[in-house]
Amino acid sequence: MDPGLRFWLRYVEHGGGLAEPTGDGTLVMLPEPLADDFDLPTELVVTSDPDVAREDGTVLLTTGHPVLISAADATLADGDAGVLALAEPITPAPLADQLQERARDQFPVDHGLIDIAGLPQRITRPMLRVGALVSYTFSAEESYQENVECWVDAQSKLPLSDQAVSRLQRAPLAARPDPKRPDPTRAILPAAVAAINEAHRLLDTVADRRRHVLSEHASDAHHQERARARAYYDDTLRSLERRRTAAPPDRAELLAARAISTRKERTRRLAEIDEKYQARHDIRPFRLHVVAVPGWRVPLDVRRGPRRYPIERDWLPALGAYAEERCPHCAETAPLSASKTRLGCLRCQPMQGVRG
Amino acid sequence: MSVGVLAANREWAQVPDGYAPLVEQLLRAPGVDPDRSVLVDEASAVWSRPGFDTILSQSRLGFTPFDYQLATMQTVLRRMRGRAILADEVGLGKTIEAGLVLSELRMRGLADRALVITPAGLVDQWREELERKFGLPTTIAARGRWEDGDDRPVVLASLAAARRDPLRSAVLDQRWDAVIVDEAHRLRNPTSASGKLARALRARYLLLLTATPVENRLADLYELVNLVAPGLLGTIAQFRRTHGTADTEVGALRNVAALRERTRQIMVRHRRSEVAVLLPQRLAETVLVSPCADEQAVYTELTTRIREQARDAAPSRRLALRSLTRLAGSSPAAAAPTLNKIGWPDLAERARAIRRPRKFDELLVRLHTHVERGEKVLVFTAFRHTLDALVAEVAAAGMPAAAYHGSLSRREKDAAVAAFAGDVPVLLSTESAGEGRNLQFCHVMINMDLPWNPMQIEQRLGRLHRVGQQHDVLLANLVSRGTIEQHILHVLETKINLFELVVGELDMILGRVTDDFDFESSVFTAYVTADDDAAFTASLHDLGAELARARTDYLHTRGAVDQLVGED
Repeated sequence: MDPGLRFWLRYVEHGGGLAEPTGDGTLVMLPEPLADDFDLPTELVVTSDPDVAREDGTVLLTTGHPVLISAADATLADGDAGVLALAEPITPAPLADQLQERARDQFPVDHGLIDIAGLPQRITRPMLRVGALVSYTFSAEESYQENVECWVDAQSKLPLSDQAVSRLQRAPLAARPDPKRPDPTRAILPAAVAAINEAHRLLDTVADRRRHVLSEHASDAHHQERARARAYYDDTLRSLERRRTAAPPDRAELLAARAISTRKERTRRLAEIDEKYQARHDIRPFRLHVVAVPGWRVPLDVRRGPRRYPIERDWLPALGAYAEERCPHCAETAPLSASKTRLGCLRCQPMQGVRG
Repeated sequence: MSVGVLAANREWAQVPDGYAPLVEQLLRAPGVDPDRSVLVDEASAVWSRPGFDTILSQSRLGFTPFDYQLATMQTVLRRMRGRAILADEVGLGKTIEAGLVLSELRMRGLADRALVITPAGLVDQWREELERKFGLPTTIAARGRWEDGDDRPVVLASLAAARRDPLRSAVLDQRWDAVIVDEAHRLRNPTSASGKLARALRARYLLLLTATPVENRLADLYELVNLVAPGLLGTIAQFRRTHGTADTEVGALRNVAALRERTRQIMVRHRRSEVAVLLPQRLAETVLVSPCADEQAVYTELTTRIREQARDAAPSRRLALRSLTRLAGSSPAAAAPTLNKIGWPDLAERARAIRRPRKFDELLVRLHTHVERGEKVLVFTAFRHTLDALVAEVAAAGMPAAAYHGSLSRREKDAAVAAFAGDVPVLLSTESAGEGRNLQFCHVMINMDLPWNPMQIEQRLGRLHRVGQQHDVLLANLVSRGTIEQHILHVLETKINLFELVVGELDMILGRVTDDFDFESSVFTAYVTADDDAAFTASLHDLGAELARARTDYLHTRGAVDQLVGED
């Protein structure tokens, strides 16, 4: 079945209608409001096969049909937002020396060594999943809409790796919370909402890059159209000039005036071509999922000789790893370095041995 | 900050445009509804139209295109921005490439209004291809009108109808999103009716399909390119200065490399030698069957009367006589009803009295042989009465066979093909078995009669001799000795080597004889104007010579096109 029709049947059922296969088509009963919206009868047989539609007199609905587009538009406008809580791990927290070893592996520290500094505490770390459609426009005639998605760790505001996303998507979900009891996941919502700007910025950056890739051909066409117009006007102006120099004075004056108007026309035409190829993009979000990931907050010390710099890292069983964190000073993500005066990343630590 | 405070302060007002409704939804009912997520995923797939590096229509295709066809589609959409000349050698699927482009444009909502202009004989074939392979709804324009609905069917029109009013005005009245013209070399002359029509059509996307974008004159190429990309080759004066005058032969043009470079910006040409599309061989056999005395007598009497009457007959009577001649070549059973209608009941009676023509005997022998070898056999006839007679004879011989004809409903046709694909070894069929059905599991075809139109012979062959066929295709033409069909077959075999031509080449050859060349009509005219069979044979010989010349021309042109638009 055409994917567009499959979506529409689901949409109808979601809206209180009924759909049932019958022969080569599907019998659909539409509630009146939906029938009115689509300007269709309340009972009809639909198909995505033109052959069946022609012979059996059924309604042909395939991707691209206005009815399908309008249903898709309404669905996207309503959006898909909510919290998905991952199940609490059934195994106890890893042993302290295991947590310490994993921390040392994952966060190598220049001139320092990580030690466990206390007991892990249960936490829920929010991850933000944002889905959006990006519309790219390259010229009056050329536009695309692409589906993009971004996962951000709401606490660190760092994007998740593909591997982490894949693990989160496979992780089992928690049972639905008891509505009579306070929902623990609500506490993470403020952090999640605060991360939306970062997610949007990441989407925008990706869209910007994609726009450049997609505009490559439009840009070629732009240059070609411009060059063609230029060549045309240059040829015309050369011809006018040639005729002007050989013409009697009254005719020469006329040709000179024509050259002036041709130059103006050239300027106008080139500006029109540039205007036609203005590239831009627009992001339309339709999904906002907050994924509540259970884990343990582990107190750690980074030790350099007698100095100790306390830090915390969240061990997330669903990822099989600690959540990535930014540098406590500059918010960069470079590896840490323990100097004699502070713990920072390799980028923001004062360069040793170099005097300004 | 707690959720309550967040909600009260409408903190999310700080989020970028478009997120606030989602945040409100999140705070109102935090649980994700999995059904809604699936619905939204599907909606985004319906709504999105990604860059042309993603092929949206692929999942909807009723077949698997070749890689070079997909690549052509992407080249046309991305680099050529939907305006191109598709100039593949014949038989490589220009129709498929155009269908892919059109399908992709429609999936993206870029070509709701699409017009396909084809030679009259190919309108139905285009309909089949677009509907069955691409799932695109079509409507055929007739008398200046076509059905138009919400689903905006692709409008199909023959070039002959579209270049004349009322259809001409109707198609020019529209602003089309996409226009496809098959056999577009017919548009080269800007002063012809077809050329004027093409130049007056308004379309954002334009595909011209022709295996011969240039004949011998350079002006041919200039005209076609100018239709697709006005100005790409400069003004006609610039073009002449750079490459040669309009009448310059392809072999004598200047700056070939520069011209190739330009034409490649809007032209795609694949050659058979470049793409790995291997078709099995066609092994054709003409089986001359000696008719029994009664058959022979009826046929001779009938054709004598036809020759006498047709010379001075009114056009409608002449057409009826032509049709009768063809029916008589098929079987006496096929001719009998028309003999009655035409006012020759005596002959009708004699035809009906022939219970089993000799061709039927030959067919049964051959069917037994093939079926014993475990081979499926597709038997073609052009006429329903012959089909009915065959169904009865084959059943009487105790051989399971399915019948397929145009009066069956779609479900009955499906059932017939399914039976043939299953246990039933024989499919008895009229021309309507075309319809793009997959019959490649069979490789034996028997023609009970020979269409006078060679294109129909090729279309029959095309049902089995197509990509996916694993065996050499065995074709037997059963022809009664002394019939017009015997003469036709002789000409087609000896002059143009019909059965060894590559798919599509026949059309190229016939299209070169004269502008509106009609083989069937030419044969009939030759028959009725000849005083006797010797004169008819001589006329057919002349016709054959014309076909042979057309074939030579075609091969010459193919070389010229390669020289101009091929690889350096």
